[in-house]
Amino acid sequence: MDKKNDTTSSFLDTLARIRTRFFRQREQAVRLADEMARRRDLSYIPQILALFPIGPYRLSQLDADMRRLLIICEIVAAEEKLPGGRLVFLENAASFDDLIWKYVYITFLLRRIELRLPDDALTETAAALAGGGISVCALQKITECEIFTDPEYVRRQAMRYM
Amino acid sequence: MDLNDKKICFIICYNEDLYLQECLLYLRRLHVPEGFSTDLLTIADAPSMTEGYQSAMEASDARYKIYLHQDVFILYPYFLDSLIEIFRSVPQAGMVGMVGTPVFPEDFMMWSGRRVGNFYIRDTPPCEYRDYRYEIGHGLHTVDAVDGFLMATACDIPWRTDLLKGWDLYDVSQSFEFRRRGYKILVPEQRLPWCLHDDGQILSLWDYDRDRRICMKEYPLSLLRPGTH
Repeated sequence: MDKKNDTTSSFLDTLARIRTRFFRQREQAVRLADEMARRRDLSYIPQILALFPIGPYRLSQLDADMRRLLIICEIVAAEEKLPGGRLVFLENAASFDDLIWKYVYITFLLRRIELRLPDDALTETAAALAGGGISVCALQKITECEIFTDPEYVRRQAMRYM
Repeated sequence: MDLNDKKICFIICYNEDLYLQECLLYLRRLHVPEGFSTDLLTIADAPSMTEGYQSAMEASDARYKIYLHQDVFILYPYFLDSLIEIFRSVPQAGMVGMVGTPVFPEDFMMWSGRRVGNFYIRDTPPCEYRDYRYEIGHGLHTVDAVDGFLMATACDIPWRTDLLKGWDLYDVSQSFEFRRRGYKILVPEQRLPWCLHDDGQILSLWDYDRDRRICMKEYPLSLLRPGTH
C-alpha cells in the first residue's frame, strides 16, 4: 500500500465510521430547515448549525445540499438585518426541498448571465430579478459561492434587472 | 439492432426536473452537424446509473450516444461536430470523454491520479466561443477511463448492471469494458472547456468504497495494462 492508497483508505474509513451519524444529523437538519421555512422563523438557525460538526468534517463538506443550506442560513440572516427585515428567501418556500430548489434555480439563472447566454435565454433571469423574488443578499451570496468565472460581472449585470 | 450512423442520441438519467430543463436549455443551442439528426432519451428515477443507461441504450438506434448527467451544461456550440470529427478520425475510438485519466490510479479513485481534459472550474476566465473551433491537431489524449459526467460512445457495449447497483464507478466500469474489447478511449484537448458540471461542488461518496472494491476485483489493472503495474 503506498501513501496515496493510505490516504484514500483513511478517508473512506472515516466516512464509514461517521456514516450513521451523518445521515441522522442530516435528517435532523432537514427537519429543522422544514420548520424554519414553514414558520418563517430564523431562531432555528443556531440549532441547524449546531448539527454541522461531524468527526473531522462538517455536514457542508460532505453533502451538496447541506452546503447549500449553510449558505441559505447566511442569506436569510443577512436579509433579516436589512431595513424592514423582509425574509425574501423564505417567501413561497414551505420546506427544505423548496429552499434548495430556489437556491439552485437562482444559481442557474445567474449562471446564464455568467455564461454570456444570448438575450432570449436571459428573459427568465430578467423577469425573476425584476419580480422582487431575489434579494440583494441572495444575489451577493450566491454569486460569491456559485459563480465560477467573474462574480462581480454577474452581480453588476443582475443588478441592472432589479 | 442496426445503428443509424447519422443519428446522435443524448441520454440523461435525472431525478430533478429543474436540472433536466436547464441541461436541455444548453443542448438546444448546439449546432447539429450537416445530415445528422438528434434524439433525446431521459430516464426519471432510474434504480441505478447502469440500469438507466442500459435501458436507454437498448431503446435507441443512434450510432452516437452521449450519456450525461442532469447537471452538465454543454457550452461549446460545435460540440457535436467536433465529437463526430474525432470518432471519424480515429476508427478505433469507442468512447470520448471530457475529462479522463491516462494512467488509472491503483486506489481506483479517478481524481487521485493525473487527469487530462478540461471543464469549467472556479476561476476559469470568461470564455468566448465565437472564434473557437476544435481541430484534431489541437490534440487527443488516450486515457484509461473517463469521468462519467459526460461519456460519448460510437458503439453499444452493455453496461454492467450485474456489477454496479448504485451511482458510482459506472464510468470506470464502462471505460474498462470498452478497453477490454480493444476500443480506444479519448479525451480532446480543449483550449476552452466544452462543458460545465454544476454538481454543487461536493461529491457524494457514501457508497463509493463498496463499488470501488467491486471494481478492483473485476478489473485488475495488471490485466488491463500489462507490464505497467
